[in-house]
Amino acid sequence: MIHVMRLAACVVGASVVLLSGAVAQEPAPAPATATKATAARLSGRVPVLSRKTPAAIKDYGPPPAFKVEPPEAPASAVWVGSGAPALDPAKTEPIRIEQRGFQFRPALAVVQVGTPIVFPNQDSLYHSVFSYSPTKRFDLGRFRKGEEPDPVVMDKPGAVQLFCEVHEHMRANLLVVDTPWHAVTDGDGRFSIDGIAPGTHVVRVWLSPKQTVERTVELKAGQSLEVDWSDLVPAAGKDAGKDAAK
Amino acid sequence: MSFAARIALAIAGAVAVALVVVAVAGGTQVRRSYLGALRGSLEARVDAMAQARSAATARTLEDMTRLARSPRLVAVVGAGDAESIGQTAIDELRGALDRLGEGSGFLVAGGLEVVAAMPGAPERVLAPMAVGAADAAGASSGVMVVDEVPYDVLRVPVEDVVEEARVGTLVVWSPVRLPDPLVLPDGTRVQGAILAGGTLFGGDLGAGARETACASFKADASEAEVGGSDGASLLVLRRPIADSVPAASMVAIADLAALRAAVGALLGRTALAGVAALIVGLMAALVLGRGLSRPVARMGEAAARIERGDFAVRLPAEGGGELATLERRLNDMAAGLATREQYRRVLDAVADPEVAAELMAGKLDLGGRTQEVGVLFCDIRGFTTLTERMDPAEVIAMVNEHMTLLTEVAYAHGGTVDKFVGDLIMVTFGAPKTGADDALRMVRCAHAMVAARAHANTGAARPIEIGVGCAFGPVVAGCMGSERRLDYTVLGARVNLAARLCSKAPAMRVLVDCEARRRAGWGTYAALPPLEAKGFSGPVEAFELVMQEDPACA
Repeated sequence: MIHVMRLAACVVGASVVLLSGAVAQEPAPAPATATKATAARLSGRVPVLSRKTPAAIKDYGPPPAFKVEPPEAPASAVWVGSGAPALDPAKTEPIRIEQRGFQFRPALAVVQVGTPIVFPNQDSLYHSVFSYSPTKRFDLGRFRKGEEPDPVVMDKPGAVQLFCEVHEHMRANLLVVDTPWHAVTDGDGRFSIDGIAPGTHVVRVWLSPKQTVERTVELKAGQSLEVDWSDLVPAAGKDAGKDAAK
Repeated sequence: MSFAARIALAIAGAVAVALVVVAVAGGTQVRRSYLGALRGSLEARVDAMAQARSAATARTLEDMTRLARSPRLVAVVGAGDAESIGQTAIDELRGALDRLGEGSGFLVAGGLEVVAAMPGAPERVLAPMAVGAADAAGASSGVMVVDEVPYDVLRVPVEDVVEEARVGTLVVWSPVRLPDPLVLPDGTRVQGAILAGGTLFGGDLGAGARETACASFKADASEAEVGGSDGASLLVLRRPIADSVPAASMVAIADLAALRAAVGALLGRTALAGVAALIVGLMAALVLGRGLSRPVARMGEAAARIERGDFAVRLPAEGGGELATLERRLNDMAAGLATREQYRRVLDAVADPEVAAELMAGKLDLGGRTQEVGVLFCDIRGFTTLTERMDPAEVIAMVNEHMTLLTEVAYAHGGTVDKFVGDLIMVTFGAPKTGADDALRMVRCAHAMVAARAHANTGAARPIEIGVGCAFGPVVAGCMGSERRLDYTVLGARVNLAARLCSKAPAMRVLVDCEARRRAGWGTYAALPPLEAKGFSGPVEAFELVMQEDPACA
């Protein structure tokens, strides 16, 4: 009965996937088996798409207690390879995504499958964190400072968009990947990933919820590869940006 | 046709014309003012309906806008999971949907596609509802007709406030709920309806009336008067719903039964007033007619009486109207005629009727003319001796009685009584009109006078003896005297001769001259010695008429 269709805008925007060369021919050796001695390093620069920083959409109360802080600077995320087994949540230190100054901090995080996430509230007002993303649907309900909800385990790879029901401007992107080699860039797009097992790897660069770009790199044992992918999506990125802004 | 009938007819006609004018003008006026007032009520009604509608729309729009901006809906639409979208929208819209009631539903569209919809919403409703959803720049509302059911449709863009991007459109619909019928204080029933997609929904209208109203509205009319199902007229008023996409109008329908009743009541009152006016008018006609016909009849009768010679007629001539004036004139006329008649009678009495008639006819001229006339004189013998010891009144009575007797005899013989002088009567024959037997009639008259007197003397306390003299010959006949006082008489020698013969005549004897005797050719005469007479050169022959029955011997 119900038409399950993707939004046309999403279809256009989200499917901008740029492939450089052939798709990973050979899956790289399981990342867990890499040793320190043979580990390679991938560093470099990727684009960071400028993002609108919405002004406080509405007042929540008098400052300073209710001051809406500016969101974090936009960033991109990079991860290398795939197919690593999920982490055991019980033995994995939870990742913190705080709500502070009425913003998610960090606003972009990459975690391996199996990582538990906690959402501590550092503000003096309620927050209500939820996700409708198919990767992980959860709804923590309202909680205040000190009422830390149970950790949420990310049990499959994919993108999770985080919202706060109370504060419509609050957004965060959590990327769940099946690889331990991942990083979030700084504001300039610089990143560095250590401990990568040598081999040919597919590198995925997340630029926005609708734009993920793939590159393939070949890393030799002990190699430290510096890449400049800052012009990764010059034309397409512009188009994608236009679509997204629609 | 009598005056009364004519006046009644005129009044009835005037009343009828006035009634028709009053009925038509009054009906038109009543209709105009009623429609004016009704139009005001209807406009107020339509405005109220539109306000209620826009208030409800605004409330729902507010709910929907809140939902469309809610992070949940933005998140769920962004995530693209139809089931989640539907569930989330149901949760968020619950209050609004409950309020919108049965048949309402929603969908979330991305572009022209339906991304998610309320579970159970009919497929055939969804597609048309999605159409136009993407076109709306902002929130919009309108009335859409799906399967001949009008729906209120509200569209609100789902916007990601962070990305400032429109991720879809939320469409909510509900069957149009028509306002409840309303009864105005004057009993006019007003129904609410809606015009959408060229069709009029709601309202108790016949198919024909509905089509007529739709046709009028298609021609952009804001008002139409159509025949209702039971033949009653309906006033239909339309107001476009502001910013409706697609266009639609609120419609108020008023039955004009109250107008019909009002016009009917007016006509009834007019008819009643008309009957009253007619009755008053007819009574007035009767009174006026009688006021006119009575005097007219009276005057007619008076005229007839005057015609018959009754000049004593006097009409009341009351009041100051024309009829009274006419009556007064008639009275004056009768009086004038009476006076003339009086004159005539006096004339007849003082003058000989024949002379009077000739005078009246204007045949007698002042100059007089010479003609042959018989002249008779008759006086009483021994009058002085007779009346010596009598009372004057007795004398007058006696003379009058005597003269009346002689006058009768004179008239009986066609004589003209010329004058009375004391105990003497002078009668002429042949003046003013000459006749062939003037002499004969004179002689017979003389004979008859003596006979009549003799007869009257029989047994009388005071017998009167008379003497008669007759002469015939040419005399001058005419009106003689002064200019102011005239007598018609005869003058001449023959007149003197007759007087002389009379004075010579013995008691109860008649003396005639030879001309009278010759001309009469009647009677037996005894010759007398010739007489000396004044105006005659010699003695005049005279004869005594022999009485057939000697009165002296009778």
